[in-house]
Amino acid sequence: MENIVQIKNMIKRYPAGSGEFTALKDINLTIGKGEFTGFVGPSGSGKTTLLNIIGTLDRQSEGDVQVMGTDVLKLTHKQSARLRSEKIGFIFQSYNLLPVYTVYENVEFPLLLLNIPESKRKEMVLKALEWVGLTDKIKSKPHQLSGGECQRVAIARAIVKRPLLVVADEPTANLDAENSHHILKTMVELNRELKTTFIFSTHDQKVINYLERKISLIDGRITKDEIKEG
Amino acid sequence: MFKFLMKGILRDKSRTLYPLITISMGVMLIVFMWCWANGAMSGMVDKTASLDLGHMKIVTRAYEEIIDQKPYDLCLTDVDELLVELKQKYPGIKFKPRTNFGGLLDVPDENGQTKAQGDFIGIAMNLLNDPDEIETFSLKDAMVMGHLPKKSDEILISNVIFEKFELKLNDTVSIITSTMYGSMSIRNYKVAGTVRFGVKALDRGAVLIDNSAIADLLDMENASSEIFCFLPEMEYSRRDAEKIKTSFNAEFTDVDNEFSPYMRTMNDDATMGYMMKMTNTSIMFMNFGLMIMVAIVLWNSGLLNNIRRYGEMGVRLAMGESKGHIYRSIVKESILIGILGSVIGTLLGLAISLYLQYHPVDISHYMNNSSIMMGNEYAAKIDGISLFIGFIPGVLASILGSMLAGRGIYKRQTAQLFKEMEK
Repeated sequence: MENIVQIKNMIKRYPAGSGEFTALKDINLTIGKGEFTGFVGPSGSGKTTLLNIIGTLDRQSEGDVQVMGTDVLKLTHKQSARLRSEKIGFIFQSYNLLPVYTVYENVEFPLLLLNIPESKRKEMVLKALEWVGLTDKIKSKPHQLSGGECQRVAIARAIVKRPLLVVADEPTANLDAENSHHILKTMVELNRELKTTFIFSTHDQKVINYLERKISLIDGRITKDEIKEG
Repeated sequence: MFKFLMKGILRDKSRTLYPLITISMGVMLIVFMWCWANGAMSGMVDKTASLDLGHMKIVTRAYEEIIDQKPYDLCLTDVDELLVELKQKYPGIKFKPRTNFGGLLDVPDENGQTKAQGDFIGIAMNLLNDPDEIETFSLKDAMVMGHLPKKSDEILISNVIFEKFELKLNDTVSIITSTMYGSMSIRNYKVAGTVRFGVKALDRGAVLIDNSAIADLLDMENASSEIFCFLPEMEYSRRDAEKIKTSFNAEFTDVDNEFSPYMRTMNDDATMGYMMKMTNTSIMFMNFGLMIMVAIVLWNSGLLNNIRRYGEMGVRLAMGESKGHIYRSIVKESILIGILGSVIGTLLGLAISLYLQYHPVDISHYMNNSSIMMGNEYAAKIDGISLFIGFIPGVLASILGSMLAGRGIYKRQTAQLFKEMEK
């Protein structure tokens, strides 16, 4: 299986006061294409930091991180922006939709960065909204949507460009049980249909139940790496 | 992408309406204050020019040396011929011969005995046949009662003297003075009307007489102590005045003849030159200070507006937009808003100034007995600088604010930026 993420002996430190705080220690990890994986652990265990490094939003202090075959430490800001725009989709806990734009425009935004022609863009946006079941809300603004709908828009925005990797940071944290299951089912379907790799950071049992692979983190170390059987 | 970003700008009031209001108001204030100060300065310059100094003044070299004493015995001669020549050489410039003199005003009773007596400041000018001079001197506005002189034996006197000496219109008064040759001269005149200029120096004891009368009164045939010169449209320009002065003096002034004509500008007058320098400097400092204050407000507004958007920038970065692209887009946005706000602010500032240019504020109440030569009306004045002065803080401060806020994009980790949206 082709590797999407390959991490060797990775350490991440943050400055804290006069010293440093080590958020991640000795991380060794490989995630293959099409996996539905999650980093699981309590708050402060380092799962979001790890997710940000994989998403090239942050950089490691030591070690080697390869994302889709690219050494992220060697990337310039512009190159890592290019990698994100072409190959990585993001889903955030607070949806992070752009409030002044409609559902359609929020989903269209990643395609504008890729300079995709308008007719093709329209086709892709409508398809993405169809996947998440929001074709009737294309003209709505985020404030007119429920939390579940906002997160579905965020999913559509993440997958509209058909990225190889989607990173989702606590995607169900602000949702009720019913919406959480709906969202997760959508992502499972997309994972199967598009072969997109999904990596979550979560401590929500509902999400954990859907994961095919569960990587547990405590105090910045990987303590368990379990693959769901069947 | 441009269309997409424009939609965001137009829909987000906090990015358009509020910055536009802030910039427009700031720019409006600067433009208006500039025009207002400019109007005050012009009012003072115009009044002083029309009553006392002219934009330029031609006198004899000897007169110029002791000009503060206004020594009419050192007056210009052959004035009619000189005026003809000047009008040919400098078309568009107005030349108005005037003579200042002093003396005693004697008011007789019904028996011809002195009832009252007092000193006066006499000004001889073209009162009978020069409507332009009447206008230049703002005589119609200054008239309190009576009419302008129609004959050379009619005079105008200040309303203060008129009331103090309990005169009536058409009363005869005697002027006691000395001729340019130093002999005593006494002539009778009829009071045609009274004037009030709102300037203490003149209102205390001015007597206005036609130039034709001084041939007899001061023995000044075809002579005048000063020729006032006014630039076209009555607009004083130091540069133009200096140019004409240089050309005039090169042609007419003879260093070996102390009675040859010599031209000086308004700025050559020690008091006025100092006043103009002081006022100009004060206006500059005042407007500069105001501009700095407005710039700080606009800078801060641009800064806060963009700091508020760090979360949005974080999301855009996460989606794959480069830091440089976001930085450039917020700077371009601030240029757009800055220019638009500055245009609106400038138009508003100009509109208010234009209104006050044609509907001046009456300040005669405050100017009573003022020793400053300033008009009774305070008007704003629009000039070339007022058209762009607001753009300096309006555009630059907004851009600087955005650029400073934009530095945060580079300084912060991308992950940190979108976390700020969640706060």
